[in-house]
Parts: sequence; structure tokens; C-alpha cells
Amino acid sequence: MPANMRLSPLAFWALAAAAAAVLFARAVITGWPSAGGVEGRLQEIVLTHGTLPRAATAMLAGATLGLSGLLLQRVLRNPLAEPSTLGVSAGAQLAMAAATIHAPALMAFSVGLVAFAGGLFTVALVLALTWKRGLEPVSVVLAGMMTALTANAASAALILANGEYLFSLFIWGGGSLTQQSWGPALSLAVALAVGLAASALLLRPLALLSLGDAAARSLGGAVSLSRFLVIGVAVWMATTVAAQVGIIGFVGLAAPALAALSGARSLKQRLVLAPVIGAILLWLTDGLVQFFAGPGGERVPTGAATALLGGPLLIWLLPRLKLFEWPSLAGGAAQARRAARPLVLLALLAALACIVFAVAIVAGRGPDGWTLASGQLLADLADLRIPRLVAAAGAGAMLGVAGVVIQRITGNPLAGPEILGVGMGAGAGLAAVLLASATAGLGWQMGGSALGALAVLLLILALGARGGLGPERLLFAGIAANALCSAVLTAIIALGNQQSYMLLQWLSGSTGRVGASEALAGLVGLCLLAPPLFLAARWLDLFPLGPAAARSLGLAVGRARFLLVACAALLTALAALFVGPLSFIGLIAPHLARLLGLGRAWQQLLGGLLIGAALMALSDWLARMAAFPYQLPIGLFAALLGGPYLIYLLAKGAERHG
Amino acid sequence: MTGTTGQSIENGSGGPAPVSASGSDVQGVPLYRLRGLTFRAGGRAIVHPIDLDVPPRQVLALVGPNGSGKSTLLKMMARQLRPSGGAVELLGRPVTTMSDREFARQVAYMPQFTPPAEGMTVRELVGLGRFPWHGALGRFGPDDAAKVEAALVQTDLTEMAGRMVDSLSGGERQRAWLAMMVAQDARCLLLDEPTSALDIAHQVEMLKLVRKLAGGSGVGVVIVIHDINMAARFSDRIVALRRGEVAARGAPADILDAAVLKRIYGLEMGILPTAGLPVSYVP
Repeated sequence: MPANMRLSPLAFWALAAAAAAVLFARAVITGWPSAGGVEGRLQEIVLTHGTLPRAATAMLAGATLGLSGLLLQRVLRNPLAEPSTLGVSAGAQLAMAAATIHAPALMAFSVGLVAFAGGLFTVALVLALTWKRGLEPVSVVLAGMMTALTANAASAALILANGEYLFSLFIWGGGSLTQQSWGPALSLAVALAVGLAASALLLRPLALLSLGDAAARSLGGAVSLSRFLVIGVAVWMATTVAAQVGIIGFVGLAAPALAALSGARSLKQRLVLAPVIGAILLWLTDGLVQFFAGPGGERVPTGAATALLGGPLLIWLLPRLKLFEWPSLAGGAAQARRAARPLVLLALLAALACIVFAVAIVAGRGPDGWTLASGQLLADLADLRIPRLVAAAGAGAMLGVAGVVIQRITGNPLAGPEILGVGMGAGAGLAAVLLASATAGLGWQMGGSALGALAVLLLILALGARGGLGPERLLFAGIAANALCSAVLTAIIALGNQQSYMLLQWLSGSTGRVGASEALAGLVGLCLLAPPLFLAARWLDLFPLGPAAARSLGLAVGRARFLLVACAALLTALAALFVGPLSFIGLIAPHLARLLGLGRAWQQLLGGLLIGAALMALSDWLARMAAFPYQLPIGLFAALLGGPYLIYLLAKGAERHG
Repeated sequence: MTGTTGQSIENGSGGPAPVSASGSDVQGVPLYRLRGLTFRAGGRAIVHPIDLDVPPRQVLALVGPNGSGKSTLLKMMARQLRPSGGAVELLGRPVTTMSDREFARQVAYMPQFTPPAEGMTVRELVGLGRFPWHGALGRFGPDDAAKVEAALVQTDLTEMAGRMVDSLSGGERQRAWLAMMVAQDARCLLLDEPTSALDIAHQVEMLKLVRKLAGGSGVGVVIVIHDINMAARFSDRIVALRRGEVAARGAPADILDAAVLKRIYGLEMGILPTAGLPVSYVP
């Protein structure tokens, strides 16, 4: 593109602001009190207590998030840091959901405080976990995302367990900006003012921090203290937004990045521009949401809409963004010894999986406590338990194998079907199918999930390939895809109809509705898709050498990658249909296989398959037993089993490498 | 690839005249014949039309300042980059007519940055070099195993064969990758700055090994290398690039010359005569 056709960044933002202003003016003019009497009085109230504070809230929330994101990115030297990638918003949501159910008095006392406690707790957890890795950006974001996903799963379970009572919380989770008063706007204004004042005071220490700890300390900065102060302020701003209007993703991530791309070089310039851009972004989005709202009220919460707009924006940004150079993650992963007798080890794993299966079929809780079923009882129960077990174990096996493939292709031990948004992509595909027809059959559902997963995976690989599939870019693309797809899901769930409930159930991963036909479909899928991967084991041996070396060894890299990716996406989609998108099994099973010393591709594939199947069967059994007679979502259980383990793995890897 | 071979030769002869002191020193059939090889990116020529022959049994060093196009040239020879114009012939056949594995049996390429190859033993890494011969499903036979052992012996890695690649030092790791290329049993090795991360002792060790391979099994070697003195010590011929064009080519003794070095690097450099080859230095 010739240079003279480019819009100057400032002109672009002025135009965006003008567009938002026009939309706002239109809303004001439509709502202007025209009639006389009571009706006119009512219109006046709607205008002064609805339309006007809403615009103010949008701008203030956007500015607060932009500032919060900028501070977090600065202080952690991490271009991916923002309230939602660090788990702040998810933590706030979980705290509020839990408080609503178990301690309503706390919520009555101060919603903001509950949210702040939740957000602060998650961020402290994430930072403590990655402290030993020197708060290295990708690990921080990874730990943050895992914490966030786990917290989301827990929130979804709470909502499901308490039914209609909390459904409004989910709509809140989508970030609705509808206002009845000036209260939220005032709270936000206070938060923003405090944040701006604090940033002005901490300007110099902040500038020092961006040089890195060692340099900052050698220049005499009090590194830890200023860092904690800044984080505290940023979290408080983000949780205030979460408490007042709900989770609004992306603004915190996009506003600072866009400010930098718009030519704000110094910290002072960015401190001004990031909040301004954040305000414009959210104001414009909210204006568009209102513009497209039907007569029955808006269909999409604004928070979900920001993600819809922000996802593509982020994907566009990705190649243009300079990511900090950090020591390669690859060196940080835990080194594995090699198994002396891999075949014996694999046989042991298979035996272990069989034991888990047997326990899951035979053992259970009844009205009279624990029982071991036998005879006629076993025959009766088997009809109920076996399809579930087959579906769960099959899904675990599929995720395990898919995880091995994805980790090997990307040469990135932290990649996995969940983190890269493949599972969420499957959800978006499923949502599209359900939206078209609420009674779509299993085949259609599978097809939709598979297409969604494939589209996401191809998009991510295409994006990541530009940066040589480095872990940072890949994760960044994964975050964008995850947020984009979950925005679609949130928007549809917020409709509050029958499909919403189905999707919510899917999101938390429930095997409850699995019958014999589903189990059979899963088994057939596994038998069709997994064996070809074993035939391609030599390809998978070559991929970790990097594309250049693999090509020079005579591998047709592009074609092989496409075939393997397609296979992995299909497996993930099929598995997600049964156990939901956030189980982490696809991340953990390959890791465990590697740690046990299964290094060759075929060994790791087989090990990942067995471990995935056993773990998922175990999760399913625990999910049935833990809160008997109620059944918890299996996906949640797997995430609760797996998330902490993976976080432990991250911390352990750091110790070895100091 | 565009352009037929015939046109390319015309293009090539119209390109920059090679500055050669010893003229053509190619004996027999060349491994590689490059004619008018060009690479453009974003409308800018990174590599101007270049003609080059790579003989067997020789080490050819590609030198030049940063951004002179030497890595790009090597990548085009390795089929890692598609040339914008010109032709590459390998043993008299255009490389575009070869399948991936067919090409990999003839040419082994080491990228500038080698990943840590986690969770793999040295012997397994070297064993991957046999992929072009047995493919995805073929049997890893006794012949393959013998080639792997031979490669380990040649690179003096036998004692480390059971160790994990990511536990090796930088120099040992480079040697393991070289061993993989040896096991590939190719006619030509293309090495992109194999010594850039090594200290001087390991640089010499690596380059001696490369030298030995070229002498012993008769493979041709093309090596991109920064240090002009090292290049002179361990190569038979030097091709110097500057801004994507050949600035000089010839025997090491001819390149180690103040006027030639000035032309390559744009820098006044001095030459110290020694008992063997002269040594260049920055005054």
C-alpha cells in the first residue's frame, strides 16, 4: 500500500470517536422526551438514568481497562498481560458467584470488595506460581489462562447447580452495559482517577521496570515494592470494572497495543493514549450493540461484542507486534529421563488403565454407601455405566493423542488443543449447528464441531507460521481464537433459550447425556483417526527438529502438517463433544508420557492415549462419586485434576534451570 | 521457479563478472550448477543473479558482511526458499524435478538455528538422518543402523550416543547435528553458520571435522561462515558476497588481500604474512 493512502493513526481514532459520537447522538435523539405528561416524564428518566450514564460507563470502563492493561503489561514486561489473561476477571466472577450463593451478606456489604478479593487472589496465585521462572511472559499467561479456565469451569458448575437463580450472572459475565443509574459510572470514575494519579506518581519507577529487574535494581529502583503497588492498582481498577459491568475482555489487551502502534512511544504518551483508545473502543462497540439491538432489547452483551471485534483486531495485530525477546521456553521444560524398557512401561500403563476401567464399572456409591456391584446388579448398572465410561475414556484417549500431535508439530511443550482454542472452536461450530436447528442430530453436531475446530487450528497455524511457530505468537493467536470463540458462545448462551442450556452444559463438560450411540460414535472415531497417526510416527519424530531441518530430511512439511493437523482437530472436536472444551487432558497426557520417559513419537502417542483414557475415566468416576447423588461435570473435574498438576510442572521446570 | 535453463545462462553471463584470480577451479562434473539464481523480496533484490559451481570433495566457504545474501543463497540451494529466478541443477538435474526424499538423499542442510531436539538421545537424532532412505513406513534395517554407527564414529560421538541431546554442550550438539547429516549419506552438505555459537576451540574442532568429511567420503561442502580467517584455513575456495552480488571468488590466498577485503567488507584491513596462510586483521 502506498504511504499516502495510509490514514494517520490519530485521524483514525478521531474518526472512530466521531462514529461513536454519532451513534450516541442517534440514541439520545431517539430517546429525547417528545411526548407530554407521564410518558414524556418517563422518556426523560430513561434518558438521564439510562442512555446518558450508559455512555459514560462505557467510556470510563474502557479507559479504566486500557490503563489497567497498560500498567500490567509494563510492570510484568509482558505484551500479553491484561486482566483477562491473568485470570483477574475470571477470579472476580468466581468470587462473586460463590459469594452470591454462600455469603449473600458479603455481596450486600460491598460487591467491589468481593470482586477485588477474587481478582487479587488469582493474580497472586499466578504470580506465585511463575515467580521462580522470573515471571517469564508466556508462563505467566499460560498459568493465568489455566487459572482463568479453571475458575470459569467452576463458575459454570455453580451456575448449573443453582439453575435459573444464577443465570443472570452469566449474562453479567458477558459484560452488559445496561444502566439504571449513575452509580456505576461514579465508581468507575473514582477508580480511573485513582489509577491515573497512581500512574503519574509511579511514572519513573515504571519506566525503570521496563528495563528489566537487574537493570532497574542497579539504577536504584525499589523493584518489588513498586511492582506490587502497580499490580495492586491495576487489579483494583480491573475488578471495579468487573464488579460494575462484568467481564469485558480484550480492551485491556488491545488498547495498549494499539496505542503503541499509533505511535505512542514514551510511557507518558501511552499513559494518555491507552485509556483514550480504550474509551473509544468500548464506546463504539456499545454504540454498535445498541444500534443493532432489536425491539426486544439487545441480543449480545457488549463484553462479548468487544471480543467479537477484538479477536480479528488481535489477529491483524499479531504480525505487527514486537514481542519481547525472552530466553526460549524450550530450555525451561522439565527434562525427562528415558525409560529403559518402554514396552514394559506401556504394558504397565495399559494395565493401570484397565484397573481404572474395572473400578469405574464395578465400584460406586449407592443409597447405602459404597458398593461393589456384581451379578444381576452389575448387569443392570453396566448398561448405564459402560457407555459413559467408553465415551469418557475414548475422549481422553483422543485428546491425549491430539495433544501429542500438536505439541510435536509446534515443537512447543506448552501447546495443546485447549490452550490453542481448538476446543472452543469446536464449541463455536457446535453452537452454529444448534442455532440453525435445536434438534440437530449427532452427526450434524459432530460435523459442526469438527469444522469449527479445524478452522481454528488452521488459522492459528497460519498465523504462527509467520513467527516460526514460536511459543509467544502461537499462544497469542490461541488467546485470540479462544476469546473469539467463547464470545460467540457467551453471546448465544446469553439468549437464554433451550440451546443456551445445552451449550452451557457442554461448556462445563458433561457426559450425562451420553448414550450407547454416542459412545459407539466416539469409539468408531477413535479407531478411525488414531491408527493413522501411528503410521505417521516418523513424521512426528522429525517435526521437533524444526521445519527447515525436517524439510531437508525429505519431509514434505506443508502436506504432512496439514494432514496431521486435520487429524488432531477432528479428534479434539469429537472429544470436546463429550467432555467439553476445557479438560487440559490434551496438555497433560503428552507431558506425563514424556516425563515417564516415552520419547519416541510412537511411544509417546501410545502413552498419551493410555494416560488420557485412564485420566478421563478417573475424572468421570470421581465426577459421579464426589457429590453423590448429584453428578458434577466431568470437564470441570478433569480441569481440577489437571490444572494444578500442570502448574506444578511449570514451577518444577523452573527450579531445575534456576 | 521461472525461466528455463537456457535463458538463465544468458542472464547469468549478463550478471556481475566474477572477480577471480585463479579462474575456474572446478574439476569434473560439479555437484551443483547455479545459473542466474536470484531472490527478490518486496520488490528488492536480496540476491542478484549469481552463477556458481560446487565441485565434489571440496569445502566452499560463503563469506560476506551481514545482509549480503549468503544465507539466502544457501537456503535456495537447499530448496528451503523458492528462487525468484534462475536455475539450480544438482548432478545435472534441475532440482525442481526431484521429490523431497530424492533431494534429501543428495543434499543435507543444517539451518543456522538448531532446536534443542528435546527428549531425544543422540543416537535417535542421528537415526532421523535415515528418513530420506526408509521413509515414513519403510523398515529401519541393518544397513541404516550401520550408517548411523558409522556416522557416530566419524564424529567421535560413540560414547555420547545414549545421552539426551538437550543435555549436550553447544559444541557437542552441533556435532550431533553434523552426525545426523553424515548418516543422511548425502553427496553435498550445506551448513549455515555452524560455528557461530561456538568458542574458538570448538570452532576449529567443528571445521576440522567438516574438512575431514570432504576429504574422506568425497562429499562437497558449502559452508556459510563469518570469520574470514577461519574460512581461509578450512576451505578450498571462498566466494564472497556483498549486497547480494559476488564481490570476489577464488582460493583463500587470493581473498586474503587488503584490496579484496576492502571490496568485500568496505573496511580497511591489514594482512599479516605468516608461515602458512596470511592472516587478516583490523588495524
